[in-house]
Amino acid sequence: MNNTLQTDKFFYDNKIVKWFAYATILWGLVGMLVGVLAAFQLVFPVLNLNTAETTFGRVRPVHTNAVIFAFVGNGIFMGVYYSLQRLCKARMFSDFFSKLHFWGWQLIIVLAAVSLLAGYTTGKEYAELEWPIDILITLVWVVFGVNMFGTIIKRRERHLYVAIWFYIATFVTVAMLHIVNSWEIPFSFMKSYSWYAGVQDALIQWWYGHNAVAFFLTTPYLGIMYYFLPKIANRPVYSYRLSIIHFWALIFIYIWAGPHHLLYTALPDWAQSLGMVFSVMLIAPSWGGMLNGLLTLRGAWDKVREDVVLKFLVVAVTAYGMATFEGPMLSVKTVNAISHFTDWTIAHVHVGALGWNGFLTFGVLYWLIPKIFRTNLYSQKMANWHFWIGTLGIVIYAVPMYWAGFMQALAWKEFTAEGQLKYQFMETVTQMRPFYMMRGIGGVLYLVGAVMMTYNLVKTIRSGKAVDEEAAEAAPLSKVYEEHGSHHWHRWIERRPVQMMVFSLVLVAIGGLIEIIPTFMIKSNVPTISSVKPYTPLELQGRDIYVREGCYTCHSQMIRPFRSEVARYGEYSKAGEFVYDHPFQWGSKRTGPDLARVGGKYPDSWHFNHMYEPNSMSPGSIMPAYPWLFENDIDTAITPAKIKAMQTLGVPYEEGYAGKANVDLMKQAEQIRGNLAKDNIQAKSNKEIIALIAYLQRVGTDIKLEQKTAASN
Amino acid sequence: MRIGFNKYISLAMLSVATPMLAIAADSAAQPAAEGNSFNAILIGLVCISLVLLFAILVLGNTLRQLAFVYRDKMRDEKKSGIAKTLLLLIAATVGSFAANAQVAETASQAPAFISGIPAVHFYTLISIIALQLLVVISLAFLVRTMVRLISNDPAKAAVAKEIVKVNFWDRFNKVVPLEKEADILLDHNYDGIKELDNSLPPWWKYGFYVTIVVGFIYMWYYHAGGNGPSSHDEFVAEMQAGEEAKAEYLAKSANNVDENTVKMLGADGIAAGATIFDQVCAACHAKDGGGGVGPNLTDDYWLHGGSVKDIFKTIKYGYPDKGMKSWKDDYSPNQIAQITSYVKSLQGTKPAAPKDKQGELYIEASTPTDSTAAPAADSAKVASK
Repeated sequence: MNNTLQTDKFFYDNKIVKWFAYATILWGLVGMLVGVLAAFQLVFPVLNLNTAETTFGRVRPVHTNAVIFAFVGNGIFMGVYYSLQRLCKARMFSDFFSKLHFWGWQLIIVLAAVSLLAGYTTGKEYAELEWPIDILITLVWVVFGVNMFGTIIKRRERHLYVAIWFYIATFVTVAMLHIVNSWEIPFSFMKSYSWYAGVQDALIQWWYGHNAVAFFLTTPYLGIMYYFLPKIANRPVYSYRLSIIHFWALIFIYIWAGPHHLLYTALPDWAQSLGMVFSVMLIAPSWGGMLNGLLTLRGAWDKVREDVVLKFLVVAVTAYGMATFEGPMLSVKTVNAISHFTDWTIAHVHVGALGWNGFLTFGVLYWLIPKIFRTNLYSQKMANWHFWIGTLGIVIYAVPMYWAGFMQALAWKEFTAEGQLKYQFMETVTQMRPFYMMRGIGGVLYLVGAVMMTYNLVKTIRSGKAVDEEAAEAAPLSKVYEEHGSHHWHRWIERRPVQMMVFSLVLVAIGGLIEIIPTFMIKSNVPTISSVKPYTPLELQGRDIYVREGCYTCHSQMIRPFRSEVARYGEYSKAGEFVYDHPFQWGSKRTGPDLARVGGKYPDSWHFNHMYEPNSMSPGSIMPAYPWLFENDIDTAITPAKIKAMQTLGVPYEEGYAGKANVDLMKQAEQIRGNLAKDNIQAKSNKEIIALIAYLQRVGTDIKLEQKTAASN
Repeated sequence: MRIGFNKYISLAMLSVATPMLAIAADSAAQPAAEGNSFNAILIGLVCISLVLLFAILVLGNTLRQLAFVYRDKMRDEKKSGIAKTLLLLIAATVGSFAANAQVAETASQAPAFISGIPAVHFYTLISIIALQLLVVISLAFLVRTMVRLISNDPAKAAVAKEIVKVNFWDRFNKVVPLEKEADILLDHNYDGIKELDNSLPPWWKYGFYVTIVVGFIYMWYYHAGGNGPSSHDEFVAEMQAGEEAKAEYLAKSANNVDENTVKMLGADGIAAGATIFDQVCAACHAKDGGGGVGPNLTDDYWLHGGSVKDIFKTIKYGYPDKGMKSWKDDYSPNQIAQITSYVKSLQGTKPAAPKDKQGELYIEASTPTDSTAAPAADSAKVASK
């Protein structure tokens, strides 16, 4: 009996929480600002500034990476470091690890921004960072994991609260996804090729990409919601049972849903179907989180009217519910046939990002900062303004994008009675500009709200004094634990963090393994096409330029088996065409037309003029110009290393080809120079534009060779 | 009583929902046109139907509880005359449930009668929804009548009000009312956060089951025992439908022009051609036809022949090896004739920056100006050297 009366006195580390909060605000502003720039670049191409580093193809990955990994990432750590200590009744495991984690993550962010702008990218969405940064991310993630588990191990609370279940699942799953998807073979200090090719690369990438949404933007934020929402509303969580069911169902089912990003592509049908049905099954587990959040507020709705923090949380949870209902709908093949590659997807993700992640972060910040600084929020009124401007921003962003998405889909698919496509692609682009303009304005409003919040919080911080070390006390756990009375069966695992981690890992591994292994092992999943040959050295160099400039952010290379796409772009894409594509470049958005069969469609001189000034060849185009490709020399010194790396990956270049590759490269470059000269264009054969033209003229042409030989036989 | 009723709810929901979703899945499986909006409508209808079903169940239960209150009231008042009304009402309640059961029956029979025509599904669903709407309206009317009948007794009126209120929201989620929350408050306490032990909302739980069942049916239909079409099968069907529609239209229309029958068009045709030319052709041939990436179209030299028929052929089939793509999938024969006429009309104009001559000299035998004129003379070609 005496034991229970003795309590440990200790301190919560608020300083680290404070730092993560500052980083969240800073990177949030940066990420949103870059987003606004990217949005207006699509309306006014002149904003690309004719400079490589400021062109959309490089700016867009900076925006996505900044808001996901810098803004939300720091938001996660802020929420976890605050709540974990309190839920475990223990200080973080190691102050040194906390600092290492913090500075390591900020270093990654800076390196990411610089390297992405400099053109170092793997070309895989949301996993664009190159191999040295990937390794750094892995190390820092391990530091985070050790710090988190260390804290859990030395906890003074016997059972783990639902928020911690979500944190554990987040930790193991992100580790698994990041390591598997970033598996790549370096050929220089900052460049590598994806280990996987074509269909397999696509499957791994979207298994990762979808679950980056699941386990970086969703599960940690659900954990944060489970701590902060009942705490702020001062209400008990609605249903413990619901927490259990929706947690396990969510992490198990989410993993399977990745292939819904690849519906009607060259991915085998069975994998597409799995992605679809698991996405539909995901509605209920996702909504479990929303219900538990909203129903916790039962009896506190009068507070919601008054308290701006709760307003942010309610909109966040509602946006979560909307996005997680819409997501499964978009995963239904029939709907996806319409929505995919259009701005509908952009609208969908921004309801999630701006509504769920953004508003939850804002709500937590408005509550946390005054709490840590032992003061009141500087201005409730300003926070209310932020709430309304932010909400308006989301609406003005999302509605035009939905509209734009429908219009694009309808225009792309419409045939005349004569059986011709009704609209040229360019007509669908010029129609989009007013909608892109509106979207930009919505983004500006949202950013203005965030700036107001920053001012409000700075004022709040100035008016208070930070309690970096918050005193707390709690009884230590006794060595022996005896359960009294009847308890829910789930209490067993809530006392066992290691088992919980292992069980989570097993659960999240199942879906991935079942989808990925057959796609790699069973040959019929990727039928080979004999006429598909490896890229020539010049084409390979050109392809790397294509990746570097982020062409995939606006152009797909995947013709789906629809009449409208076959009429517009040519024969639909087959799995066997991509076997040498490290990485795959199927893209996910058609701001510009699909390029899967652009090879041979236009003369070399067309591409030359088009890349220099897109409007000269495509009047009305919103594509940026790429003048630097006409000045930069092709880096021929690296050609042998590239060929060798490809050989390691199984691309059948002949033995010792690396040494001879540059000879072929120059020969082909000379040929293209000659073609240009015929059209009165004087160009040097050693410029990057030549390599890019070589690649573009090759894309999707191999399969035509097969048809020619078949016809002549 | 209560448990039994809940069981009834779940059984009814499953028996109705599963076949309806099966219809939807089955219909989605028809080798339909790309982006077939019918499937979306179908799914929407199924959802509406499910919502209505839920409304019926909630209303039915409300009515049932009200009936008990009313019976008590009658008992208290001992008015035998009204017993008849009571009987009537109970009969009405039973009747409404019977209607509901009938809905379930119709739905479960539906798949057996489907011969693969989506229209059948559509009308089946519409009739189910209409029936459900009727039931909802009559139930709502009965609930209102019942509340009115009870409300002359103040004590009972309060109870009735409570039943109506609780049923529509809390029943929906099966929540324990705030006042009774203490009964389900668990002894958990995490940094002051406590947890209640409310049941899973029934609609959530059964919705989850339904999605799982649908998932299995879908996988079975497309990848196991079923005969669902592959993406490629769907594509073939869509292309065939497109070709048939096109052939049918062209057979009937005056659009049936080809390189053997094409003639120079009049001013309207040329103007229409000019619009397309400026949009598309100008990129390579310059707006004034002076050439750039492609050859000059204003001079008398032609790479592939300069007659109306030749130009039509060049545009239609293209010369992909030389950079001229085929436009037959982009423009109709009539539109290609319009472009041809416009190109012809550029002959002899003075472009700003003409490209050097390419190909062979072509001299027209006669220069017809509209479609009524004689066809252009073919192959009046003279070697340029």
